[in-house]
Amino acid sequence: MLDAVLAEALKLRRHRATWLMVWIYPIAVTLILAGVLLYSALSTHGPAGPPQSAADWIQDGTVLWKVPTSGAGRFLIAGFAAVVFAGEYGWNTWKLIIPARARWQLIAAKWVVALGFLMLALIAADLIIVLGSLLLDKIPAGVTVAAVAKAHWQAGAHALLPILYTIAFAGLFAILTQSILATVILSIALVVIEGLWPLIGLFAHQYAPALISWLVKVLPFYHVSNLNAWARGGMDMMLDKSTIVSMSWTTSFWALTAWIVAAGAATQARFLRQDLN
Amino acid sequence: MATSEPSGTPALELRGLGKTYGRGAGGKRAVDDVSLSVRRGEVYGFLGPNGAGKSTTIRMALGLIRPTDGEALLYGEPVSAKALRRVGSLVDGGTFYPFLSGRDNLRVLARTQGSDGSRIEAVLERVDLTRDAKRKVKGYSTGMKQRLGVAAALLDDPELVILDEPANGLDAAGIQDMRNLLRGLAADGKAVFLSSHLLHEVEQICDRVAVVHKGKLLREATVREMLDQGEALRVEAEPLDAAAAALDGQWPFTRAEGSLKVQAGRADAPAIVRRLVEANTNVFRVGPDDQSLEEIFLNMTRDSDA
Repeated sequence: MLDAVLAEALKLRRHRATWLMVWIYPIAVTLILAGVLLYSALSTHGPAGPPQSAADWIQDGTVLWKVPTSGAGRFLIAGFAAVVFAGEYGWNTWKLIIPARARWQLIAAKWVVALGFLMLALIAADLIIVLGSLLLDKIPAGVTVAAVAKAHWQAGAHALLPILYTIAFAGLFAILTQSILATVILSIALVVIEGLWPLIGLFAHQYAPALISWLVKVLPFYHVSNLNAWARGGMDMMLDKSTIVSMSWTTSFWALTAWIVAAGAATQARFLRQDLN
Repeated sequence: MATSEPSGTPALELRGLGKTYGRGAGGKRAVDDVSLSVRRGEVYGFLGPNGAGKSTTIRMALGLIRPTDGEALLYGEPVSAKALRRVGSLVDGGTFYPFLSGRDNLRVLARTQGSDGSRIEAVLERVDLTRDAKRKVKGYSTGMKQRLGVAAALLDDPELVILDEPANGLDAAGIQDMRNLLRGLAADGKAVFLSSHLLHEVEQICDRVAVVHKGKLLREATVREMLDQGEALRVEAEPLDAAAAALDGQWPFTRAEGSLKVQAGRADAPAIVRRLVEANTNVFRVGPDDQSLEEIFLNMTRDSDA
Protein backbone atom coordinates (compact mmCIF):
# COMPACT_ATOMS: atom_id res chain seq x y z
CA MET A 1 0.00 0.00 0.00
CA LEU A 2 2.85 2.37 0.81
CA ASP A 3 4.22 1.81 -2.70
CA ALA A 4 0.87 2.77 -4.21
CA VAL A 5 0.86 6.00 -2.17
CA LEU A 6 4.45 6.82 -3.14
CA ALA A 7 3.63 6.19 -6.80
CA GLU A 8 0.65 8.52 -6.58
CA ALA A 9 2.73 11.20 -4.86
CA LEU A 10 5.50 10.85 -7.44
CA LYS A 11 2.93 11.31 -10.18
CA LEU A 12 1.21 14.38 -8.76
CA ARG A 13 3.77 16.33 -6.79
CA ARG A 14 4.82 18.43 -9.78
CA HIS A 15 1.60 18.42 -11.75
CA ARG A 16 0.30 21.86 -12.73
CA ALA A 17 -2.95 21.28 -10.85
CA THR A 18 -1.02 20.60 -7.66
CA TRP A 19 0.85 23.87 -8.01
CA LEU A 20 -2.35 25.81 -8.76
CA MET A 21 -4.63 24.26 -6.18
CA VAL A 22 -2.40 22.92 -3.39
CA TRP A 23 1.09 24.41 -3.29
CA ILE A 24 -0.61 27.74 -3.95
CA TYR A 25 -1.35 28.04 -0.19
CA PRO A 26 2.24 28.34 1.11
CA ILE A 27 3.31 30.23 -2.02
CA ALA A 28 0.52 32.81 -1.71
CA VAL A 29 1.07 33.22 2.03
CA THR A 30 4.81 33.70 1.48
CA LEU A 31 4.20 36.32 -1.20
CA ILE A 32 1.67 38.17 0.98
CA LEU A 33 4.05 38.06 3.92
CA ALA A 34 6.90 39.36 1.78
CA GLY A 35 4.65 42.20 0.59
CA VAL A 36 3.63 43.11 4.11
CA LEU A 37 7.24 42.98 5.30
CA LEU A 38 8.26 45.26 2.45
CA TYR A 39 5.40 47.65 3.17
CA SER A 40 6.30 47.74 6.87
CA ALA A 41 9.91 48.47 6.05
CA LEU A 42 8.99 51.33 3.74
CA SER A 43 6.06 52.71 5.73
CA THR A 44 6.55 55.67 8.07
CA HIS A 45 3.26 55.05 9.90
CA GLY A 46 3.19 53.29 13.25
CA PRO A 47 0.91 50.33 14.05
CA ALA A 48 -2.78 51.25 13.74
CA GLY A 49 -5.52 50.56 16.29
CA PRO A 50 -5.44 49.50 19.90
CA PRO A 51 -3.34 46.47 20.86
CA GLN A 52 -5.11 43.10 20.61
CA SER A 53 -5.83 40.80 23.51
CA ALA A 54 -3.82 37.58 23.67
CA ALA A 55 -6.91 35.48 22.83
CA ASP A 56 -7.78 37.58 19.79
CA TRP A 57 -4.20 37.60 18.55
CA ILE A 58 -4.02 33.82 18.80
CA GLN A 59 -7.40 33.39 17.12
CA ASP A 60 -6.51 35.74 14.26
CA GLY A 61 -3.42 33.66 13.61
CA THR A 62 -5.57 30.66 12.71
CA VAL A 63 -7.28 32.50 9.85
CA LEU A 64 -5.78 30.19 7.22
CA TRP A 65 -7.86 27.24 8.38
CA LYS A 66 -11.02 29.08 7.38
CA VAL A 67 -9.91 29.04 3.74
CA PRO A 68 -10.39 25.31 2.99
CA THR A 69 -13.87 25.39 4.51
CA SER A 70 -14.91 28.50 2.57
CA GLY A 71 -16.58 28.31 -0.85
CA ALA A 72 -13.44 29.31 -2.77
CA GLY A 73 -11.31 26.92 -0.74
CA ARG A 74 -13.74 24.08 -1.36
CA PHE A 75 -13.59 24.77 -5.12
CA LEU A 76 -9.82 24.43 -5.04
CA ILE A 77 -10.01 21.20 -3.05
CA ALA A 78 -12.66 19.80 -5.38
CA GLY A 79 -10.62 20.81 -8.42
CA PHE A 80 -7.55 19.07 -7.10
CA ALA A 81 -9.51 15.97 -6.10
CA ALA A 82 -11.05 15.94 -9.58
CA VAL A 83 -7.59 15.82 -11.15
CA VAL A 84 -6.43 13.15 -8.70
CA PHE A 85 -9.40 10.83 -9.23
CA ALA A 86 -10.62 11.62 -12.75
CA GLY A 87 -7.22 12.40 -14.27
CA GLU A 88 -6.55 8.73 -14.98
CA TYR A 89 -9.60 8.64 -17.28
CA GLY A 90 -8.49 11.74 -19.17
CA TRP A 91 -4.90 10.52 -19.53
CA ASN A 92 -6.17 7.00 -20.29
CA THR A 93 -3.70 5.66 -17.73
CA TRP A 94 -5.86 3.29 -15.69
CA LYS A 95 -4.74 0.71 -18.28
CA LEU A 96 -1.16 1.30 -17.25
CA ILE A 97 -1.59 0.89 -13.51
CA ILE A 98 -4.58 -1.38 -12.94
CA PRO A 99 -2.74 -4.56 -13.94
CA ALA A 100 -0.01 -3.55 -11.47
CA ARG A 101 -2.02 -3.14 -8.28
CA ALA A 102 -5.38 -4.04 -6.68
CA ARG A 103 -8.03 -1.51 -7.60
CA TRP A 104 -9.02 -0.69 -4.03
CA GLN A 105 -5.43 0.20 -3.24
CA LEU A 106 -5.20 2.57 -6.20
CA ILE A 107 -8.27 4.46 -4.96
CA ALA A 108 -7.11 4.40 -1.34
CA ALA A 109 -3.74 5.81 -2.42
CA LYS A 110 -5.54 8.67 -4.16
CA TRP A 111 -7.38 9.47 -0.95
CA VAL A 112 -4.16 9.50 1.05
CA VAL A 113 -2.33 11.70 -1.46
CA ALA A 114 -5.20 14.16 -1.95
CA LEU A 115 -5.62 14.65 1.79
CA GLY A 116 -1.89 14.41 2.53
CA PHE A 117 -0.84 17.02 -0.04
CA LEU A 118 -3.58 19.43 1.09
CA MET A 119 -2.77 19.09 4.77
CA LEU A 120 0.95 19.42 4.05
CA ALA A 121 0.38 22.64 2.10
CA LEU A 122 -2.00 24.08 4.72
CA ILE A 123 0.30 23.23 7.62
CA ALA A 124 3.24 24.81 5.76
CA ALA A 125 1.16 27.93 5.04
CA ASP A 126 0.01 28.06 8.66
CA LEU A 127 3.58 27.86 9.94
CA ILE A 128 4.58 30.69 7.60
CA ILE A 129 1.73 32.80 8.99
CA VAL A 130 2.84 32.10 12.56
CA LEU A 131 6.39 33.02 11.63
CA GLY A 132 5.19 36.20 9.93
CA SER A 133 3.09 37.18 12.94
CA LEU A 134 6.10 36.80 15.18
CA LEU A 135 8.14 39.00 12.84
CA LEU A 136 5.51 41.67 12.18
CA ASP A 137 3.24 41.96 15.18
CA LYS A 138 3.80 43.20 18.63
CA ILE A 139 2.96 40.07 20.60
CA PRO A 140 0.39 40.77 23.34
CA ALA A 141 1.13 39.77 26.89
CA GLY A 142 -0.21 36.33 27.82
CA VAL A 143 0.53 34.64 24.51
CA THR A 144 2.26 31.32 25.10
CA VAL A 145 3.64 28.75 22.70
CA ALA A 146 1.29 26.13 24.17
CA ALA A 147 -1.76 28.34 23.64
CA VAL A 148 -0.77 29.13 20.05
CA ALA A 149 -0.10 25.46 19.30
CA LYS A 150 -3.43 24.42 20.82
CA ALA A 151 -5.40 26.99 18.83
CA HIS A 152 -3.76 26.01 15.54
CA TRP A 153 -4.17 22.31 16.27
CA GLN A 154 -7.88 22.82 16.98
CA ALA A 155 -8.44 24.93 13.88
CA GLY A 156 -6.66 22.38 11.72
CA ALA A 157 -8.54 19.46 13.23
CA HIS A 158 -11.88 21.20 12.67
CA ALA A 159 -11.04 21.85 9.03
CA LEU A 160 -10.16 18.20 8.45
CA LEU A 161 -13.68 16.81 8.20
CA PRO A 162 -15.01 19.38 5.68
CA ILE A 163 -11.87 18.80 3.58
CA LEU A 164 -12.43 15.04 3.70
CA TYR A 165 -16.07 15.55 2.79
CA THR A 166 -15.13 17.60 -0.28
CA ILE A 167 -12.54 15.01 -1.38
CA ALA A 168 -14.96 12.13 -0.79
CA PHE A 169 -17.68 13.55 -2.99
CA ALA A 170 -15.29 14.78 -5.68
CA GLY A 171 -13.81 11.26 -5.76
CA LEU A 172 -17.24 9.72 -6.10
CA PHE A 173 -18.25 12.16 -8.85
CA ALA A 174 -14.96 11.43 -10.65
CA ILE A 175 -15.52 7.68 -10.69
CA LEU A 176 -19.14 8.08 -11.76
CA THR A 177 -18.58 10.68 -14.49
CA GLN A 178 -15.02 9.72 -15.54
CA SER A 179 -14.42 13.39 -16.32
CA ILE A 180 -12.46 16.15 -14.57
CA LEU A 181 -14.79 18.87 -15.84
CA ALA A 182 -17.97 17.07 -14.82
CA THR A 183 -16.48 16.38 -11.40
CA VAL A 184 -15.65 20.05 -10.88
CA ILE A 185 -19.12 21.14 -12.02
CA LEU A 186 -20.87 18.68 -9.70
CA SER A 187 -18.59 19.66 -6.81
CA ILE A 188 -19.36 23.34 -7.37
CA ALA A 189 -23.07 22.51 -7.48
CA LEU A 190 -22.69 20.74 -4.14
CA VAL A 191 -21.09 23.83 -2.57
CA VAL A 192 -23.75 26.10 -4.07
CA ILE A 193 -26.59 23.90 -2.77
CA GLU A 194 -24.90 23.89 0.62
CA GLY A 195 -24.77 27.70 0.63
CA LEU A 196 -28.42 27.96 -0.44
CA TRP A 197 -29.58 25.22 1.90
CA PRO A 198 -30.95 27.58 4.61
CA LEU A 199 -33.01 29.39 1.96
CA ILE A 200 -34.13 26.18 0.29
CA GLY A 201 -35.14 24.79 3.69
CA LEU A 202 -37.05 27.91 4.62
CA PHE A 203 -38.91 27.97 1.31
CA ALA A 204 -39.66 24.25 1.01
CA HIS A 205 -40.59 23.75 4.66
CA GLN A 206 -43.97 25.45 4.22
CA TYR A 207 -44.98 22.80 1.63
CA ALA A 208 -43.59 19.67 3.28
CA PRO A 209 -42.54 20.49 6.83
CA ALA A 210 -41.94 16.95 8.08
CA LEU A 211 -39.95 15.92 5.03
CA ILE A 212 -37.79 19.05 5.00
CA SER A 213 -37.06 18.81 8.74
CA TRP A 214 -35.98 15.23 8.19
CA LEU A 215 -33.86 16.09 5.14
CA VAL A 216 -32.09 18.90 6.98
CA LYS A 217 -31.12 16.48 9.71
CA VAL A 218 -30.12 13.66 7.36
CA LEU A 219 -28.43 15.32 4.36
CA PRO A 220 -24.86 16.55 4.82
CA PHE A 221 -25.42 20.24 3.94
CA TYR A 222 -26.49 21.52 7.36
CA HIS A 223 -23.86 19.44 9.12
CA VAL A 224 -21.01 20.90 7.03
CA SER A 225 -22.16 24.42 7.83
CA ASN A 226 -22.64 23.51 11.48
CA LEU A 227 -19.10 22.14 11.72
CA ASN A 228 -17.64 25.10 9.83
CA ALA A 229 -19.28 27.42 12.37
CA TRP A 230 -17.70 25.61 15.32
CA ALA A 231 -15.84 28.75 16.47
CA ARG A 232 -19.18 30.56 16.88
CA GLY A 233 -20.68 27.61 18.71
CA GLY A 234 -22.38 26.08 15.68
CA MET A 235 -25.17 27.12 13.34
CA ASP A 236 -28.91 27.33 13.87
CA MET A 237 -31.08 26.78 10.81
CA MET A 238 -34.51 28.36 10.91
CA LEU A 239 -37.22 26.55 8.95
CA ASP A 240 -40.09 28.67 10.25
CA LYS A 241 -40.75 30.85 13.27
CA SER A 242 -41.19 27.89 15.56
CA THR A 243 -38.87 25.34 13.93
CA ILE A 244 -35.15 25.82 14.34
CA VAL A 245 -32.71 23.03 13.66
CA SER A 246 -29.79 23.24 16.05
CA MET A 247 -27.62 20.19 16.46
CA SER A 248 -24.54 19.58 18.53
CA TRP A 249 -21.05 19.56 17.07
CA THR A 250 -20.78 15.85 17.92
CA THR A 251 -24.00 14.97 16.10
CA SER A 252 -22.89 16.84 12.99
CA PHE A 253 -19.45 15.25 13.26
CA TRP A 254 -20.89 11.73 13.19
CA ALA A 255 -23.44 12.59 10.51
CA LEU A 256 -20.78 13.99 8.22
CA THR A 257 -18.43 11.10 9.00
CA ALA A 258 -21.18 8.71 7.93
CA TRP A 259 -21.59 10.59 4.64
CA ILE A 260 -17.84 10.53 4.02
CA VAL A 261 -17.66 6.78 4.70
CA ALA A 262 -20.69 6.20 2.46
CA ALA A 263 -19.19 8.24 -0.39
CA GLY A 264 -15.86 6.44 -0.01
CA ALA A 265 -17.53 3.03 0.00
CA ALA A 266 -19.65 3.91 -3.03
CA THR A 267 -16.51 5.07 -4.87
CA GLN A 268 -14.73 1.80 -4.13
CA ALA A 269 -17.76 -0.34 -4.98
CA ARG A 270 -18.30 1.39 -8.31
CA PHE A 271 -14.64 1.37 -9.28
CA LEU A 272 -14.18 -2.31 -8.44
CA ARG A 273 -16.83 -3.22 -11.02
CA GLN A 274 -16.04 -0.60 -13.63
CA ASP A 275 -15.08 -1.63 -17.18
CA LEU A 276 -12.17 0.37 -18.59
CA ASN A 277 -12.35 0.21 -22.35
CA MET B 1 9.35 -15.28 -9.17
CA ALA B 2 8.32 -18.55 -7.56
CA THR B 3 5.94 -20.75 -9.52
CA SER B 4 3.72 -23.29 -7.85
CA GLU B 5 1.51 -24.52 -10.70
CA PRO B 6 2.22 -27.72 -12.71
CA SER B 7 4.69 -27.18 -15.56
CA GLY B 8 2.05 -27.88 -18.22
CA THR B 9 -0.24 -25.11 -17.01
CA PRO B 10 -0.76 -22.57 -19.80
CA ALA B 11 0.50 -19.06 -19.15
CA LEU B 12 -2.84 -17.72 -20.36
CA GLU B 13 -6.02 -19.68 -20.82
CA LEU B 14 -9.35 -18.31 -21.98
CA ARG B 15 -12.35 -20.55 -21.38
CA GLY B 16 -15.57 -19.64 -23.13
CA LEU B 17 -14.81 -15.97 -22.63
CA GLY B 18 -17.61 -13.61 -23.60
CA LYS B 19 -18.56 -9.99 -23.22
CA THR B 20 -21.87 -8.32 -23.93
CA TYR B 21 -22.25 -4.55 -23.67
CA GLY B 22 -25.69 -3.39 -22.68
CA ARG B 23 -28.62 -5.56 -21.71
CA GLY B 24 -31.59 -7.18 -23.36
CA ALA B 25 -32.24 -7.07 -27.07
CA GLY B 26 -30.10 -3.96 -27.54
CA GLY B 27 -27.03 -5.63 -26.03
CA LYS B 28 -23.95 -5.89 -28.25
CA ARG B 29 -21.99 -9.11 -28.16
CA ALA B 30 -18.36 -7.97 -28.47
CA VAL B 31 -16.70 -11.30 -27.64
CA ASP B 32 -18.44 -14.65 -27.94
CA ASP B 33 -17.21 -17.93 -26.45
CA VAL B 34 -13.48 -17.46 -27.07
CA SER B 35 -11.32 -20.34 -25.81
CA LEU B 36 -7.58 -20.59 -26.32
CA SER B 37 -4.40 -21.21 -24.42
CA VAL B 38 -0.93 -19.70 -24.60
CA ARG B 39 2.04 -21.82 -23.58
CA ARG B 40 5.37 -20.82 -22.14
CA GLY B 41 8.08 -20.18 -24.69
CA GLU B 42 5.76 -19.40 -27.58
CA VAL B 43 4.62 -16.30 -29.39
CA TYR B 44 0.87 -16.50 -29.89
CA GLY B 45 -0.85 -14.24 -32.39
CA PHE B 46 -4.42 -13.09 -32.01
CA LEU B 47 -5.61 -12.03 -35.44
CA GLY B 48 -8.63 -10.15 -36.52
CA PRO B 49 -9.81 -7.06 -38.36
CA ASN B 50 -10.60 -3.87 -36.48
CA GLY B 51 -13.63 -4.35 -34.26
CA ALA B 52 -13.23 -8.13 -34.15
CA GLY B 53 -13.04 -8.19 -30.35
CA LYS B 54 -9.27 -8.51 -29.95
CA SER B 55 -8.81 -5.54 -27.64
CA THR B 56 -11.85 -6.44 -25.54
CA THR B 57 -10.47 -9.95 -25.09
CA ILE B 58 -7.07 -8.58 -24.06
CA ARG B 59 -8.67 -6.15 -21.63
CA MET B 60 -10.57 -9.03 -20.02
CA ALA B 61 -7.33 -10.99 -19.66
CA LEU B 62 -5.80 -7.96 -17.93
CA GLY B 63 -8.68 -7.32 -15.54
CA LEU B 64 -9.66 -4.04 -17.16
CA ILE B 65 -13.04 -5.37 -18.30
CA ARG B 66 -15.21 -7.92 -16.50
CA PRO B 67 -16.33 -10.83 -18.68
CA THR B 68 -20.04 -11.57 -18.84
CA ASP B 69 -19.32 -15.26 -19.61
CA GLY B 70 -16.45 -17.65 -19.13
CA GLU B 71 -13.15 -16.87 -17.50
CA ALA B 72 -9.55 -15.92 -18.13
CA LEU B 73 -6.85 -17.79 -16.23
CA LEU B 74 -3.28 -16.61 -15.71
CA TYR B 75 -1.05 -19.57 -14.86
CA GLY B 76 -4.16 -21.44 -13.77
CA GLU B 77 -5.44 -18.65 -11.50
CA PRO B 78 -8.38 -16.34 -12.15
CA VAL B 79 -7.36 -12.81 -13.09
CA SER B 80 -6.47 -10.90 -9.94
CA ALA B 81 -3.90 -8.36 -8.79
CA LYS B 82 -1.73 -11.24 -7.55
CA ALA B 83 -1.94 -13.21 -10.80
CA LEU B 84 -1.30 -10.06 -12.84
CA ARG B 85 2.04 -9.55 -11.10
CA ARG B 86 3.45 -12.15 -13.50
CA VAL B 87 2.14 -10.28 -16.53
CA GLY B 88 3.50 -7.32 -18.48
CA SER B 89 1.15 -5.56 -20.85
CA LEU B 90 0.88 -2.98 -23.57
CA VAL B 91 -2.61 -1.67 -24.33
CA ASP B 92 -3.68 1.20 -26.59
CA GLY B 93 -0.18 1.80 -27.90
CA GLY B 94 1.20 2.74 -24.51
CA THR B 95 -0.83 5.04 -22.29
CA PHE B 96 1.28 7.30 -20.12
CA TYR B 97 1.18 10.43 -17.98
CA PRO B 98 1.86 13.13 -20.58
CA PHE B 99 3.25 15.58 -18.02
CA LEU B 100 5.96 13.16 -16.83
CA SER B 101 9.13 12.12 -18.59
CA GLY B 102 9.49 8.63 -20.01
CA ARG B 103 11.76 7.66 -17.13
CA ASP B 104 9.39 9.12 -14.49
CA ASN B 105 6.50 7.22 -16.05
CA LEU B 106 8.45 4.01 -15.56
CA ARG B 107 9.29 5.08 -11.99
CA VAL B 108 5.59 5.56 -11.25
CA LEU B 109 4.79 2.16 -12.75
CA ALA B 110 7.64 0.46 -10.86
CA ARG B 111 6.40 1.96 -7.58
CA THR B 112 2.86 0.88 -8.36
CA GLN B 113 4.13 -2.63 -9.02
CA GLY B 114 6.00 -2.55 -5.73
CA SER B 115 9.39 -2.97 -7.36
CA ASP B 116 12.49 -0.89 -6.74
CA GLY B 117 12.81 0.27 -10.34
CA SER B 118 16.27 -1.24 -10.74
CA ARG B 119 15.36 -2.47 -14.25
CA ILE B 120 14.29 0.95 -15.55
CA GLU B 121 17.58 1.78 -17.26
CA ALA B 122 17.89 -1.72 -18.70
CA VAL B 123 14.44 -1.68 -20.32
CA LEU B 124 14.94 1.87 -21.61
CA GLU B 125 18.16 0.67 -23.20
CA ARG B 126 16.42 -2.38 -24.63
CA VAL B 127 13.87 -0.24 -26.49
CA ASP B 128 16.47 2.39 -27.39
CA LEU B 129 14.88 5.22 -25.42
CA THR B 130 17.69 6.07 -23.00
CA ARG B 131 18.52 9.27 -24.86
CA ASP B 132 14.91 10.53 -24.77
CA ALA B 133 14.04 9.27 -21.29
CA LYS B 134 14.26 12.77 -19.77
CA ARG B 135 11.75 14.27 -22.21
CA LYS B 136 8.09 14.59 -21.31
CA VAL B 137 5.95 11.91 -22.92
CA LYS B 138 3.62 14.50 -24.47
CA GLY B 139 6.47 15.27 -26.89
CA TYR B 140 6.97 11.64 -27.92
CA SER B 141 6.07 10.33 -31.36
CA THR B 142 3.64 7.42 -31.70
CA GLY B 143 6.53 5.04 -32.26
CA MET B 144 8.37 6.29 -29.15
CA LYS B 145 5.24 5.85 -27.04
CA GLN B 146 4.90 2.36 -28.43
CA ARG B 147 8.49 1.56 -27.49
CA LEU B 148 8.00 3.05 -24.02
CA GLY B 149 4.92 0.83 -23.76
CA VAL B 150 7.05 -2.21 -24.49
CA ALA B 151 9.58 -1.03 -21.88
CA ALA B 152 6.72 -0.72 -19.37
CA ALA B 153 5.52 -4.22 -20.25
CA LEU B 154 8.97 -5.64 -19.58
CA LEU B 155 9.68 -3.57 -16.47
CA ASP B 156 8.90 -6.20 -13.86
CA ASP B 157 10.53 -9.03 -15.87
CA PRO B 158 7.16 -10.72 -16.46
CA GLU B 159 6.64 -14.37 -17.39
CA LEU B 160 3.75 -13.55 -19.72
CA VAL B 161 3.74 -10.51 -22.00
CA ILE B 162 0.41 -9.37 -23.47
CA LEU B 163 0.68 -6.82 -26.26
CA ASP B 164 -2.19 -5.17 -28.10
CA GLU B 165 -1.05 -4.24 -31.63
CA PRO B 166 2.63 -3.83 -30.70
CA ALA B 167 3.76 -2.92 -34.23
CA ASN B 168 1.41 0.07 -34.56
CA GLY B 169 3.28 3.28 -35.28
CA LEU B 170 6.65 1.59 -35.70
CA ASP B 171 8.81 2.11 -38.77
CA ALA B 172 10.42 -0.79 -40.64
CA ALA B 173 13.49 -0.83 -38.41
CA GLY B 174 11.30 -0.60 -35.30
CA ILE B 175 9.20 -3.53 -36.48
CA GLN B 176 12.35 -5.56 -37.09
CA ASP B 177 13.58 -4.72 -33.57
CA MET B 178 10.20 -5.64 -32.12
CA ARG B 179 10.27 -8.96 -33.97
CA ASN B 180 13.70 -9.79 -32.56
CA LEU B 181 12.67 -8.68 -29.09
CA LEU B 182 9.56 -10.86 -29.03
CA ARG B 183 11.38 -13.90 -30.41
CA GLY B 184 14.05 -13.31 -27.77
CA LEU B 185 11.44 -13.27 -25.01
CA ALA B 186 10.00 -16.57 -26.23
CA ALA B 187 13.51 -18.02 -26.42
CA ASP B 188 13.95 -17.05 -22.76
CA GLY B 189 10.90 -19.20 -21.94
CA LYS B 190 8.41 -16.37 -21.60
CA ALA B 191 4.97 -16.53 -23.15
CA VAL B 192 4.02 -13.76 -25.56
CA PHE B 193 0.41 -13.08 -26.54
CA LEU B 194 -0.04 -10.37 -29.12
CA SER B 195 -2.94 -9.07 -31.13
CA SER B 196 -2.44 -7.69 -34.59
CA HIS B 197 -4.08 -6.97 -37.87
CA LEU B 198 -0.66 -6.93 -39.60
CA LEU B 199 -0.74 -10.49 -40.87
CA HIS B 200 2.65 -10.39 -42.50
CA GLU B 201 4.16 -9.58 -39.11
CA VAL B 202 2.27 -12.31 -37.34
CA GLU B 203 3.34 -14.82 -39.99
CA GLN B 204 6.97 -14.02 -39.24
CA ILE B 205 6.85 -13.80 -35.45
CA CYS B 206 4.23 -16.21 -34.17
CA ASP B 207 4.32 -19.92 -33.44
CA ARG B 208 0.56 -20.25 -33.18
CA VAL B 209 -2.31 -18.02 -34.16
CA ALA B 210 -6.00 -17.66 -33.50
CA VAL B 211 -8.29 -15.90 -35.94
CA VAL B 212 -11.15 -13.93 -34.44
CA HIS B 213 -13.92 -12.24 -36.36
CA LYS B 214 -17.03 -10.49 -35.05
CA GLY B 215 -16.18 -11.65 -31.55
CA LYS B 216 -15.98 -15.34 -32.43
CA LEU B 217 -12.90 -17.53 -32.66
CA LEU B 218 -12.76 -18.95 -36.18
CA ARG B 219 -9.65 -21.09 -35.90
CA GLU B 220 -6.67 -21.76 -33.65
CA ALA B 221 -3.62 -23.43 -35.23
CA THR B 222 0.11 -23.18 -35.78
CA VAL B 223 1.16 -20.78 -38.48
CA ARG B 224 2.33 -23.77 -40.60
CA GLU B 225 -1.04 -25.52 -40.25
CA MET B 226 -2.80 -22.33 -41.15
CA LEU B 227 -0.67 -21.86 -44.27
CA ASP B 228 -1.04 -25.52 -45.28
CA GLN B 229 -4.81 -25.37 -45.08
CA GLY B 230 -4.85 -23.19 -48.13
CA GLU B 231 -2.87 -25.65 -50.27
CA ALA B 232 -3.34 -24.89 -53.98
CA LEU B 233 -1.67 -25.24 -57.36
CA ARG B 234 -1.10 -22.43 -59.82
CA VAL B 235 -1.69 -23.50 -63.45
CA GLU B 236 -0.43 -21.46 -66.39
CA ALA B 237 -1.77 -22.78 -69.72
CA GLU B 238 -3.10 -21.53 -73.06
CA PRO B 239 -5.78 -21.11 -74.11
CA LEU B 240 -6.90 -20.48 -70.55
CA ASP B 241 -10.60 -21.03 -71.34
CA ALA B 242 -9.83 -24.48 -72.71
CA ALA B 243 -7.74 -25.28 -69.63
CA ALA B 244 -10.57 -24.13 -67.41
CA ALA B 245 -13.05 -26.25 -69.34
CA ALA B 246 -10.77 -29.28 -68.97
CA LEU B 247 -10.52 -28.95 -65.19
CA ASP B 248 -14.14 -28.00 -64.65
CA GLY B 249 -15.95 -30.52 -62.48
CA GLN B 250 -12.71 -32.28 -61.52
CA TRP B 251 -11.02 -29.75 -59.22
CA PRO B 252 -12.35 -26.49 -57.87
CA PHE B 253 -10.47 -23.51 -59.24
CA THR B 254 -10.55 -19.75 -59.58
CA ARG B 255 -9.09 -17.51 -62.27
CA ALA B 256 -6.30 -15.26 -61.09
CA GLU B 257 -3.95 -13.01 -63.06
CA GLY B 258 -3.98 -14.96 -66.35
CA SER B 259 -3.73 -18.31 -64.61
CA LEU B 260 -5.86 -20.76 -62.70
CA LYS B 261 -5.64 -21.30 -58.98
CA VAL B 262 -6.66 -24.92 -58.45
CA GLN B 263 -7.65 -26.24 -55.02
CA ALA B 264 -5.51 -29.35 -55.14
CA GLY B 265 -2.40 -30.79 -53.50
CA ARG B 266 1.04 -31.56 -54.92
CA ALA B 267 -0.01 -35.20 -55.48
CA ASP B 268 -2.69 -34.10 -57.93
CA ALA B 269 -0.24 -32.28 -60.21
CA PRO B 270 0.47 -35.20 -62.66
CA ALA B 271 -3.25 -35.87 -63.15
CA ILE B 272 -3.89 -32.19 -63.82
CA VAL B 273 -1.08 -32.03 -66.36
CA ARG B 274 -2.41 -35.17 -68.14
CA ARG B 275 -5.87 -33.68 -68.26
CA LEU B 276 -4.62 -30.42 -69.72
CA VAL B 277 -2.51 -32.18 -72.37
CA GLU B 278 -5.46 -34.38 -73.35
CA ALA B 279 -7.46 -31.15 -73.83
CA ASN B 280 -4.80 -29.89 -76.28
CA THR B 281 -3.72 -26.95 -74.16
CA ASN B 282 -0.16 -25.70 -73.94
CA VAL B 283 0.98 -26.13 -70.35
CA PHE B 284 3.64 -23.65 -69.23
CA ARG B 285 3.64 -24.25 -65.51
CA VAL B 286 1.93 -26.26 -62.79
CA GLY B 287 3.36 -25.44 -59.36
CA PRO B 288 2.52 -24.76 -55.72
CA ASP B 289 0.63 -21.58 -55.03
CA ASP B 290 1.92 -20.25 -51.71
CA GLN B 291 -0.86 -18.36 -50.07
CA SER B 292 0.03 -15.80 -47.49
CA LEU B 293 -1.60 -15.78 -44.10
CA GLU B 294 -3.33 -12.64 -45.26
CA GLU B 295 -5.13 -14.44 -48.09
CA ILE B 296 -6.11 -17.30 -45.82
CA PHE B 297 -7.31 -14.84 -43.21
CA LEU B 298 -9.37 -12.92 -45.76
CA ASN B 299 -10.91 -16.13 -47.05
CA MET B 300 -11.78 -17.21 -43.52
CA THR B 301 -13.41 -13.96 -42.54
CA ARG B 302 -15.21 -13.77 -45.89
CA ASP B 303 -16.57 -17.28 -45.38
CA SER B 304 -17.76 -16.39 -41.89
CA ASP B 305 -19.52 -13.30 -43.23
CA ALA B 306 -21.33 -15.36 -45.87
